[in-house]
Amino acid sequence: MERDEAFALWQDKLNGEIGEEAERRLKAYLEHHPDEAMELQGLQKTWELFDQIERPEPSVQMDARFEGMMAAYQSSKKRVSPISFTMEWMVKSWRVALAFLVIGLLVGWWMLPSHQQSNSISELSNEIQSMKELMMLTLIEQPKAQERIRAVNMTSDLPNADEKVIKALISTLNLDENLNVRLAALESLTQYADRPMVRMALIEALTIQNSPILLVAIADVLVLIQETSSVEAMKMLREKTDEELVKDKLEESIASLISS
Amino acid sequence: MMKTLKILACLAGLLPISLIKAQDFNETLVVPLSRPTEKGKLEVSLVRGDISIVAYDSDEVVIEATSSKSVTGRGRCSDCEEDRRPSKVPPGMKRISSSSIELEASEDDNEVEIATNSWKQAVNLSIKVPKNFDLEVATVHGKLSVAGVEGLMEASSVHGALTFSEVAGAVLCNTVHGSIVATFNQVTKDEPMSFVTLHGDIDASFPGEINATTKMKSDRGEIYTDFDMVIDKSTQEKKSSKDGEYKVSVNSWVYGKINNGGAEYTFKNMHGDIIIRKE
Repeated sequence: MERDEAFALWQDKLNGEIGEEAERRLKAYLEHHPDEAMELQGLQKTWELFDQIERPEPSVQMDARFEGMMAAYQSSKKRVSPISFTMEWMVKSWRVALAFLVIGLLVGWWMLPSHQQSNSISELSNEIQSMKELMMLTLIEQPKAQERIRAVNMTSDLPNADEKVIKALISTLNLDENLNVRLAALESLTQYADRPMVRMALIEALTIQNSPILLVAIADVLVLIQETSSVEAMKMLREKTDEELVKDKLEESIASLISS
Repeated sequence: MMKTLKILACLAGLLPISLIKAQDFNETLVVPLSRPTEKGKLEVSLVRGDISIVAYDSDEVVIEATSSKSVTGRGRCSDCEEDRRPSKVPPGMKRISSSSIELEASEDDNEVEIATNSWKQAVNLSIKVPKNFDLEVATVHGKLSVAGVEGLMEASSVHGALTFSEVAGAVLCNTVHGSIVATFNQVTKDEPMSFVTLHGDIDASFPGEINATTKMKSDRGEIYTDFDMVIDKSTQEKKSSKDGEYKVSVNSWVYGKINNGGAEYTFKNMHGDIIIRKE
């Protein structure tokens, strides 16, 4: 064992980090080299003296100075913008990035208009339609003619109105006490003229109505929708009515329907 | 001249009913409202006779009925063809009226109803109502005029013209043989209107700032306006061809948008022009 190795082992012994084997070898070496043993003992004493030297406690001023420096350092760190800090953090922590990606995908998946949702949209529009129909059916019963005419005009938003609405319009055409409302009902019914029920009702109205204004308007509509089967009813009415105007109009309408 | 005036006792609350019997008369009835501060409504329907309604500053309805033997039992409607016929009084004869006139007015919950037997003899009514009033008036052989009333108005005649001057609110009206003239000081927002006649012009004036969608049709007349209307002639055309003949029939409603568009105003006649003026 060399001297240097012995010194290193001895340092380890002082620190209490020496193995049994190394200690035995160190002991053997020191027994054979009394000079080195003496030197090392002196060194040990010096170490022990160091321990005895009183260590000064840190002063209050020093504490304050340290705190101040610490604070200054921290604030200088904080001045780094939070965004770039976050970015840096995210770049560093790829797990977080991955987690965000997964969350994003899930949210996107959830928000995509699925088949089920498009179903619920059509359900909603159906509901709106039936609400409108209900409102129309309520308004058309109102005592004020203005309300009833409003109800009749509402049907222009209801191209696919159900039978209840059509029936309400027909009964308004036939029975409403106000002629302006009856006329509006007739105009609204024109948009449903592709339904047999409406065509029948219009022909029937020729026999029910007695106002020349309405009879002329119905004749106009029947010509428009080319309802040739109304010719018989028109001919009957032409014989019955004594209003010259209505007679003329019916004459004209019959001619138009027969020629087409 | 025999004249009796009977005022029947109220049945429930304020329900004054007055009954007049007369052969030739000029009579006035005053009907107070049960809720004078609120909007009232007038319902009257005649067979023969003119109706003139004027708004005034009060909370009572004043009905003035006139009827004269000189009318020879027919309406005093100057527009009506049949009234221009010479009366059938045999020469040297004097007419003794056999019929009596009844005029009855009742009020219930701010609704005033006037009933007459004008089907027997023409009765001309001149009615004063509070400004804030709804109307439901009709006559068959007679003219109808409304001035200064603010409310929802339904009016109809068959043989007579309709006139609305300086009114506000909304009007639904129709006549067969007669023109319609209406001037509005103001219109109720979103209330639909309708002006319909067969023989006669329709001449309506509205304030320039109204929002409405007009729907117009004149079979054999012209349509005029000085509003900047956006016109949409959404014609529904039905075409048919038969033996090489080509035929087009058009149902031409003309739609016009006044300002931003809004409630539907219908104007329809057959013989006559439609004039829509901006005030």
